[in-house]
Amino acid sequence: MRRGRGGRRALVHYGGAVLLLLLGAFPLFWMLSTSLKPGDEIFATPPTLAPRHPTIENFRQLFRETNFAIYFRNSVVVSFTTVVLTLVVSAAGAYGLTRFRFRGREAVGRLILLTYMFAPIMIIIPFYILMKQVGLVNRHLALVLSYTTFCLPFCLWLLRAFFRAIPLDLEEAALVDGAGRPRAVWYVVLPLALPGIIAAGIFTFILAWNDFLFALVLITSDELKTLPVGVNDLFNATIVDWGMIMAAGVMITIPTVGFFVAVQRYLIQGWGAGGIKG
Amino acid sequence: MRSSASSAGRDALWGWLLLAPSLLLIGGLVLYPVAYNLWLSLFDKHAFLATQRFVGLEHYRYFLTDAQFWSAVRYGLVYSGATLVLQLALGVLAALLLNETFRGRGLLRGVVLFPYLIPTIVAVILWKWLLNDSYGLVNSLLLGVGAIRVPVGWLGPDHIMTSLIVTSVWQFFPFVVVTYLARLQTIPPELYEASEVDGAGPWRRFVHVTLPQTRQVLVVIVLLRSIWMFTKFDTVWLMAGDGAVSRYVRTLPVYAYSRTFTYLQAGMGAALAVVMFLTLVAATVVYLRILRADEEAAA
Amino acid sequence: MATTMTRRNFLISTGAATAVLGTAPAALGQQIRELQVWHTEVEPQTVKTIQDTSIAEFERKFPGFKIKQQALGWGDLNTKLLASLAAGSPPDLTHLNPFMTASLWKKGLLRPMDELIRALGEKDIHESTLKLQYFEGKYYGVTHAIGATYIAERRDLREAKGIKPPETYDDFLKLTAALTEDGKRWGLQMPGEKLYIGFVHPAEWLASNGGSWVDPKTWRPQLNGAAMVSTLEYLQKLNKYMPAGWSGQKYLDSLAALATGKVAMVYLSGARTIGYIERYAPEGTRDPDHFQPMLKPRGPQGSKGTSALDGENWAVFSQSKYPNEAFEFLKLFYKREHYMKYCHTVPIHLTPIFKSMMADAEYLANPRIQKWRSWHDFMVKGLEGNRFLPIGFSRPEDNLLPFLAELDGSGIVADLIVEVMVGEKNAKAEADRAQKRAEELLAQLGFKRWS
Repeated sequence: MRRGRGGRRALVHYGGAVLLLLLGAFPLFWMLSTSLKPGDEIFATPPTLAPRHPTIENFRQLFRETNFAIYFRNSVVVSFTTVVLTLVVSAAGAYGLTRFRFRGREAVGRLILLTYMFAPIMIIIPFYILMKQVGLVNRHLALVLSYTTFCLPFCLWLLRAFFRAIPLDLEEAALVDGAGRPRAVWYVVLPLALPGIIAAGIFTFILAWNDFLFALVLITSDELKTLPVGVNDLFNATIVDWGMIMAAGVMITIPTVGFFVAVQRYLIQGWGAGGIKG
Repeated sequence: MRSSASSAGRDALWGWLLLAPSLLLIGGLVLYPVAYNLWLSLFDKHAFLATQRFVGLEHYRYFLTDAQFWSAVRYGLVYSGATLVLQLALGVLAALLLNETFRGRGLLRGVVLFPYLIPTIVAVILWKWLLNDSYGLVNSLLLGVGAIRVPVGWLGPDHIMTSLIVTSVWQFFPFVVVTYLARLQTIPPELYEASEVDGAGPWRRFVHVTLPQTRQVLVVIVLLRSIWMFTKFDTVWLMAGDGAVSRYVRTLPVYAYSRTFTYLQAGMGAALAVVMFLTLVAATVVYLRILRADEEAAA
Repeated sequence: MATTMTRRNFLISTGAATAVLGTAPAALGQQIRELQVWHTEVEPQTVKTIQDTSIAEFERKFPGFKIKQQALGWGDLNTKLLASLAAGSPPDLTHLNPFMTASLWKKGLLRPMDELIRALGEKDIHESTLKLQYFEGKYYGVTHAIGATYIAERRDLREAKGIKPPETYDDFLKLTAALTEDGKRWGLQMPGEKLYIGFVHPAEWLASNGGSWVDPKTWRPQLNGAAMVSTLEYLQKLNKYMPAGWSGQKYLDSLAALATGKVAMVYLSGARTIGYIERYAPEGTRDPDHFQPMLKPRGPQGSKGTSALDGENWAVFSQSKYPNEAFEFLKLFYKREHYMKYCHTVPIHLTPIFKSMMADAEYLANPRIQKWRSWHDFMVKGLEGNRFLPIGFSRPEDNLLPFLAELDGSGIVADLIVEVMVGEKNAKAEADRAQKRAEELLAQLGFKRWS
């Protein structure tokens, strides 16, 4: 690319990189450090950067004395179910929008974009009442349905852009060769749209994993709580202290971050190609 | 290839069929609640018990003179304005940096997303711990370098809004980074090279090449982030919503939630939600109109 | 240990099945009838003890019934209960806060339990808690355990300065100032949660200063009366001796601050403080010589200082599916051997409601009670001297008010206190504003009886 103006450019690069690294990672490091400290060290002034007497007692207490493991399992179940449902529904919808010409197609596209602007807080009250009427209050299904619905606009938008970018000729070549439409889709279209599908999947997973408001209002039983609500309740309950709550934070973050690191390429690729392009 | 009438009919059938699940979900779980919300705002309804009473536009009239409502609007504007500007600045700078080539860039691109991936509750707990006035790291560092003499009450009434803004900016600036970076990466290098040949320095290259090329993505980012920050509930509620300091960060979403679930007046909460929605629609329309005029003038 | 693991596995698999099938667990086995019991004691050892003692014996005596206990956060209780009532599926047996029982009774939602009270021994139940849910000649609730709250102080520091325990607001102000050492230690910390600073404590202040939430006859709020205004002015002065960020911290943070020596006194303390002292206080100070409870002072218009008494009551809803079984369970809950174990899970915080057990040698032999005996005695003395009122009550008759929960939820008083204390606004002006908001709220709820 551009030939560096040597030292000054490198300084900017690496200086900025360090700042950015600290910004993104240091708070999480601090959380980890606190979670490994014993009780009296947590309250030491001035605080120690890394634990002098590291211990995993906070983690042990978290699993032994609270229902954290149950919350974790609930979040996993709800999030994965949501991802599967959302991908299926949005892929089908996006395919319908791009491969078939019919009246109202553009209007539907715009309507869907409009619903993207409804923030959850604006519909939570009637949503709760609606769920009450159909008897889905305090069921995971209510969460799965609401998360799917909120992810649909973005996923439809994203996948539509991806499907559009895949030339029709490839599919039609497959059809001419005798493959039925489903096979053509499975073997031709989906693999090419994979980055978009993964990006949509990650976006959905993050939204479902992190949601607080819907889980707060719709779930009342302790054993059905998802992580955000469960951890918040622990934070406000009279039995948890900072060490344990940091341990909870670490347990939530590691899988999310790890999972993300594994698939990060696709996210940026998908994000860019998907729809924000000019 | 697709010119026969029956083929067009079949197209339509398949199109609608594949769209049906999406439309059903969105219609049933978004549009219907929005309509019901509008209806509910015309009633005086207890949040949980069956009593309800028609009051028409009474709630809206009430809010016009309700000091708490206007205070909520003010706090909402301060919060969304400040977080938007800071997220944008930080996010664009980070994206520009990450667009350069240097060792470790790939890793950094992943790390910069961490704040966005974790649930809000974790981010809030984290920052509440960092900003704790007796045991938090921030006060320790500030005291250590002599920037302050007494520990600052970051989570107290004087600074809770600042703390809330800091937490929100940290949480959401990665969205700006990723979105902006994705666009940056598709700018043809030739444009920069041509500009360099003309003798332009980095700043001028930014203004004359980068900005125009990314104008549209910036519009989208500003629009989306304003909407999301103005209607943000989680971060605000979890940070201070139920404490004594909630008064100083009571934005519209928090006010709407508490009218329904703590005052137990669902009709009023619904009215507030409608007000939020209308504000956003109006702001969006105005914003897009200004932009279109701006583009036409530039053309 | 083994029982907990099995129960956890049961819960996990049931939860997963529920998620997948979207059907209620009860449907999986039609023969088993399930009693839903909700309470607010979330400590794991308490939950386990209830499971292993009362629930175990109940399930043995009544095969075909299972009890599902659910420990809820105290702050969530009201909302979750109302939500369940609205959904038509309330728990069969639940804890209630005394300040919300009246509103539920008025709506006809509660079942009387005279027979149970007689079976437990009406005369043995402590007077401070016996008639809290006594409406129109019948009992509608029985307290699960009582726990007094009070100020917790560093007694060694106070005695080093030669100061007597404070009796009036003025005394307390002087004491707090004396114990504040610039940069080293603050005199006092109050909890920052809206519930405490905006409801529990204001009730105490009103009671200690000759005031009350509302006028007894007209129900007109009294938020700008002399009792509240003089309290606000006192609080504004007191704020100078509290850490700057106190309103953003929690009750538990204040206990940690007391234990680690950052503050000399905490305004809200119960026996939980002992747990924090044992864990975080420096070695050699973990004893009653250093940490002691203290009664709250009275205001200029009051005759004696009042503290909140923590004690939710059991209640059975009219809609309960298995009311008789609920009462049978309660009889087992209060059975001497089970009840004593229950109270011992969080000693002193869960003090038995029976006068006989409070003085019982076996009860008092618990090691923590033995070590911190002065805290237990302090509470008994306070009860005898009538220094406690249930949480949120400004007068004993407040148990009949049906809007305290909504008043609390509105945050009107919390805002008032914080604006004056920390925002340093004018007490009378803010009180007038709060009064207006409160009158408006009560009118909106339909409780306006004044003109």
